[in-house]
Amino acid sequence: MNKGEVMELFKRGELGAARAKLSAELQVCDDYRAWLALARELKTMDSNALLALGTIPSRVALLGGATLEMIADPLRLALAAAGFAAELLVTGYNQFLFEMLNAESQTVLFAPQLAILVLSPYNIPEWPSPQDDRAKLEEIIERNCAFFLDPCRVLHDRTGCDIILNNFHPLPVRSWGNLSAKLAFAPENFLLRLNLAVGERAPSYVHINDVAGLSNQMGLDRWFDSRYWYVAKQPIAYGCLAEYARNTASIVSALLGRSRKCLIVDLDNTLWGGVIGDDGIEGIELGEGSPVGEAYKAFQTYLLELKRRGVLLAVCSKNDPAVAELPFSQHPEMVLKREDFVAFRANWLPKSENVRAIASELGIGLDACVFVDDNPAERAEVGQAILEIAIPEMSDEPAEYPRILDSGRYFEIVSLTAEDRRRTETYHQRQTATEIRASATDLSAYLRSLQMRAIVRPFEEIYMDRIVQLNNKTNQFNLTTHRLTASQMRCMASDPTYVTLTVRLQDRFGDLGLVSVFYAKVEGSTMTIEGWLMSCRVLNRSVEQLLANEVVKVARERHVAEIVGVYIPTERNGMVKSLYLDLGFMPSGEKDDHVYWRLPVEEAKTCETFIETGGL
Amino acid sequence: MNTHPEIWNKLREILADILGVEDIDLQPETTAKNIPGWDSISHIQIMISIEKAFSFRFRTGELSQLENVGQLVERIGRRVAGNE
Repeated sequence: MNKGEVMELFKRGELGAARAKLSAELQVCDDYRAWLALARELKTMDSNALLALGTIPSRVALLGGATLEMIADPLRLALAAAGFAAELLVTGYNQFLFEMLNAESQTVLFAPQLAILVLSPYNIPEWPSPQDDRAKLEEIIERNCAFFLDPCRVLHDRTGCDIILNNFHPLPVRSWGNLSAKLAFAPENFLLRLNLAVGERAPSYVHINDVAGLSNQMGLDRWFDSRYWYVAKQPIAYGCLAEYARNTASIVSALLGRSRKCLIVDLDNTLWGGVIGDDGIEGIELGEGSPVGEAYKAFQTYLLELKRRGVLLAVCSKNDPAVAELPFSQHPEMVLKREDFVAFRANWLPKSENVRAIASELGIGLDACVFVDDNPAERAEVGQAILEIAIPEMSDEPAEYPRILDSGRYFEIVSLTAEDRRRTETYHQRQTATEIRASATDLSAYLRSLQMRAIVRPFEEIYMDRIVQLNNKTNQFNLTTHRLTASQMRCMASDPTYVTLTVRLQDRFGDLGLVSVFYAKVEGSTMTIEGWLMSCRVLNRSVEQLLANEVVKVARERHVAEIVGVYIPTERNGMVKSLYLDLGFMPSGEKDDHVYWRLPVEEAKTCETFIETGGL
Repeated sequence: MNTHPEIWNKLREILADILGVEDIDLQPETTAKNIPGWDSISHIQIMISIEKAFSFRFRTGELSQLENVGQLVERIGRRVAGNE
């Protein structure tokens, strides 16, 4: 690991660059000693170094049926690299039940946003015996699930925290041999069933850290070293702690909306073997018939799977545009089609410029992008120009491409929403709409031509995943950028002092889904808008005007005299700087980075909107 | 101290990485108690770092029962030489 460079950047106060470097180094280093040495050096230089590297404050409790001190520093590093200023509470060996169930435990008093529970098969209280029938087996599985999930519910009810619970790695021995695959009571077989049951019964605030899958990927003999279990109650061997920390940090990233959204890929020697401009459609290697061609086809298939779960795909290639399109229209083995991509840049400009253009075209941040290119020089050019972007170290071996990209865990999600499944389609609709707008001279005629209809409703459970996702992922049209967990947002929905609203929108091109989220607290005769954000794909559609009208309506119903708007500037939300002014609010002073606006409800005027309400 | 100079050097590096003690006065009779920061947690971290640096595995019994640094170096030396 290149500690020196991370330390040097940190010393110079270039925290963003230090974090980017740290993230890149941790991604490829599995040496536990190197991780510890880096954590120690950073802490020696500045006791708050690991907090200073992150920008998003978070409170994380570490609990478990294992010794947790050895996991703490790797976890701190991985969380810092992911952008979190995580305050970590490390609790005692095997204290997890007490910590979760006792109303005054240090965990409860710590009020974590997130609890990470480290468990191993040795924490399972009840195992079946050979004489147990299927019904008895099911009972044992139920009781074991309750043993782990009930305390999660108690802790969640008390603190509102989300919980990351790991499932169980397989046992190191197979006492029933191969027959265990057929015997439901055999311990190895039972563990598989228990893992499935815990995953199925886990409520929305419990997120599974798939240690069963991770130990399988790493190899169980590497994952579990029984000597260290006996000596130090360490359920994860030291050579695997880095991987465990990276995996856990990726779940935290997904929970707090820091996962990436868009994959920008090169074409030549990335999606197919060879150079289309030199080798021609007959000459490039792709598809069945050649081993290398099969490897590229497998990579395309992997990218298609990512697209299906909501990752946006974009092309950035140094090519003649017409030539770059050729394989998409003419090569029979192309798995990816032209319409699978939401942006397509083939030209001779520096790739960093194209990457910036793609992010801006899609209305997403550069920190939401991943850049994949087989050429180290291109990766270096983009990496130097754009710190926030993630750039996996692709090898020159296409058979490894899917695994290299997969191991970066860039696109981790904690739930799947309907919007995820049709995201590419939605971006295409937005582009068509943008093109129509470019040709229309009269904006209001254009907006009317969209025939937009909206439903405005409070937060509803069925949309909760999407509400949380939008709240945590929106950077630009976001007045306060408060990142909240699902639990916090549910509390708000059921709190009578809160007004919560969402907007679902449809136009003649299709259903745009849930596109805007609003929450405000009513105290006495004042309603303070704590959060207001909107998906950028519906910018300039008069959704904000529609919502403002609804807010005034609600304010009147609740006898509110004054609405207070808050704007907290960030690097990204400049576009809503004057939103409240545009909606008729009056300036009301500034304090601690907060800019305040007020609107006496009596003086509120109806804003012009081109959207009909009620019934999609 | 005269035997296994390369082991002593690597051990110093490991202690520097894990404990942050650079100019440590490491003698054969030095025990964990004499070195600030060498507690039960860092002891395990030191042991696994030794295993990785010298490519062998301690026995379970050895992980917690070592009297002093001299004995530790002797043990490493024997294991590295394949005499045990």
